Amino acid sequence: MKTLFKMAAAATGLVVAGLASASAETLQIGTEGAYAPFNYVSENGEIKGFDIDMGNAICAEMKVECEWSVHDWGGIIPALNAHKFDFMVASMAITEARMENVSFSDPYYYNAMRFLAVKELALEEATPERLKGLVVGTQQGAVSVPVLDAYFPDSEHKLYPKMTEALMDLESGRLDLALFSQFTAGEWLAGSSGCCEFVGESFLMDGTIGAGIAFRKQDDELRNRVNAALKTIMDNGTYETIRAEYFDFDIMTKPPYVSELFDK
Amino acid sequence: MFDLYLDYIDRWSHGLWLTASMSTLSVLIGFLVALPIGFVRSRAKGPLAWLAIAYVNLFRGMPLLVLMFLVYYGFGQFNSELRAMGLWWFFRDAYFCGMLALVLNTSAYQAEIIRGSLDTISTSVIETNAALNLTRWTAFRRVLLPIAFAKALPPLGNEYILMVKATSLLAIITVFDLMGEARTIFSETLDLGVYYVAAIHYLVLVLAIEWTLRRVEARFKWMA
Amino acid sequence: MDHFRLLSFGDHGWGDELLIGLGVTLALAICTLPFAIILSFLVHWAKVSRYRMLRSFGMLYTTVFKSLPEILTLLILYYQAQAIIGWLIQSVIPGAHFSISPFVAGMISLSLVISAYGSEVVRAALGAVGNGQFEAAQSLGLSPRIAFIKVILPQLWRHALPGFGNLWIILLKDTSLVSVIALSELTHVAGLAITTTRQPFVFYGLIAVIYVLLVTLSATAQKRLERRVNLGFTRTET
Repeated sequence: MKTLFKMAAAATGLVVAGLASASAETLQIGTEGAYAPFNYVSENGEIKGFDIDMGNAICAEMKVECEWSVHDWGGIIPALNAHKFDFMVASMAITEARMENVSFSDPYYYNAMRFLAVKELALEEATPERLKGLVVGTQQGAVSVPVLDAYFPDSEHKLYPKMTEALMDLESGRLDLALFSQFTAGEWLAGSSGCCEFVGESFLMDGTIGAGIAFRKQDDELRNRVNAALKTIMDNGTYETIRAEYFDFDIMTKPPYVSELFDK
Repeated sequence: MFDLYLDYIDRWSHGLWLTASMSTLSVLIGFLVALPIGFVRSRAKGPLAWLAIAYVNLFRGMPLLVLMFLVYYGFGQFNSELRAMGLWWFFRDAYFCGMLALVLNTSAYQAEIIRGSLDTISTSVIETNAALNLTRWTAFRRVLLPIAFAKALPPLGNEYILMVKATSLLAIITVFDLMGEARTIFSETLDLGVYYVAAIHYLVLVLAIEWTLRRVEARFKWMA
Repeated sequence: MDHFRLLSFGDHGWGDELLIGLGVTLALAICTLPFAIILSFLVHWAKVSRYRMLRSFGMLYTTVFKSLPEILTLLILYYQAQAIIGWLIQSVIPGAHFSISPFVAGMISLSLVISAYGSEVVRAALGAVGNGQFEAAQSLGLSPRIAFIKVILPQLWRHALPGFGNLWIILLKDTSLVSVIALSELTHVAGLAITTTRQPFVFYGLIAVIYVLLVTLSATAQKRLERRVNLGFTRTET
């Protein structure tokens, strides 16, 4: 019996260890951690990236402490709704479908997507006709998936749990093309073996308003606080400073929508 | 929840077919691969036996998930070398890589099952064969093999069911079996009911296989 | 060599993260095992109970957790249990919330699956001990509880050792599945390392070797333990 009680005590202890600590002073932020340069885990185990810097700047502006955690992209919205963290800064595109489950802040950048292609294919353009029969990879659960389904139905689609896995397959030649955020793809290209290049213009999925910070639908007050902090950061130049560390170009101009470029 | 099934019925059917076909194929191919290895494990000594032991310990010792990653992404890293060797057509395809990982895994387990079935044939049977003056080959073919087969059938059947469950990991390397389709539909709908529909699929599939296996095993029970 | 730099400890290498991942893997397995064993006994008793409800429940339990892939069990548990617990807590203490960590979710789901197989191990082991022992204990006036703890259990675990030993090895390997819900165990850390270093073969190869070593060590320890426990009971070599 004694051992049974000991085990029960241990069990309770472990369960308590799983309790989320949400005091007013500390907020938990969730991200993916596999989406360089926006959010990734570095060699020394730190979570880093543009999203992280933005989140930290917003927290500083709101005068709260923030703690970060990484989550699998496929389950990140359920994780938010399950109170595993308080809000999400993970370069998530604001879409109507997603707004059924979460609410978003104002956009903090426009995450245009663009095709990467293997150089040997020598594609000059990325139109649905040109991409017919080719193998295109993208991340499961990303906004690129409905784009591919709607506008590029004649290509073969391969879905990956993580963006980097798709890029590895692009490099090894299993994929002919990959459709990802222009910025993450650009980051990857810079460090890659030179196999691939951008093809065609960058575009946004119809109805996306940019990348936003996600909240639980009932957390309106938190959302307003974050929006206010976001606006302050954009106005007082903190945003520019952070942006300049990562990108030489402006990321707040809105690229064209995919429907303007291609027909269904 | 029923509409979650009906709305995506072609995806569910496709996933179910892939799960059933890949598990069946991998078990069968794994059996063929396991036969010589199991035999070596049971009878042989020396370096050949050590190779067999190494094979079995290696592929039983690592999780199937890790093996799948290793085969697909690990070998994908060597695509230029594989191209030079003319093997890239195989490793390029996620289906083949998944099959390879499944076969490597199940063959290691099946080799041990075969070894076990050969080793536990009671000595009285062997003595009887000698008393009847049967040649070693005839004794093996006519007496030992059928007995070993009957002994191995229940654990092999169990291995078949384990393979059905193992195919659920294939989505990690972009082969969309039943579990993979479930994950895709979940990422679109965020409705937990999707996983329950998948669960029902698996339950029905496994129970159907188990029912068939029990009837097959019953016919061979006397031989074991 | 470049590879050694990748694996080194400290800021530039993934060695220390991998070691921590290994620690999480082991911690998960070690924490899960006692729960799995206890559950195995409970499920077995349910299956042989006088009450038909319990018997049916036991049968349903083992059927479900032996038929479903572990990864499906894990995902359902992680999201559904969270939803249920969240709802329960909300109705009792509105405004509070409670989060199941991936570690706990992994522990629970792995315990459930392992115990489904473990109940069979218990059944076989109890059968090997025999009913006579229990009857003798009863005739001596020992209560069922004392009889179990002082008479049956010491004899039982010798028979249960091989079965539970195998289940331990299965548990060790199944911890890799919890990487899917972003628990930073060994497989997950390897995945993170590959995201930045792009050396899948090195990292997956390394963790494959680590798992094989863990399993081989466990199997050897199990064999030693079996030999020691069976001293004086059965012939271990023919």
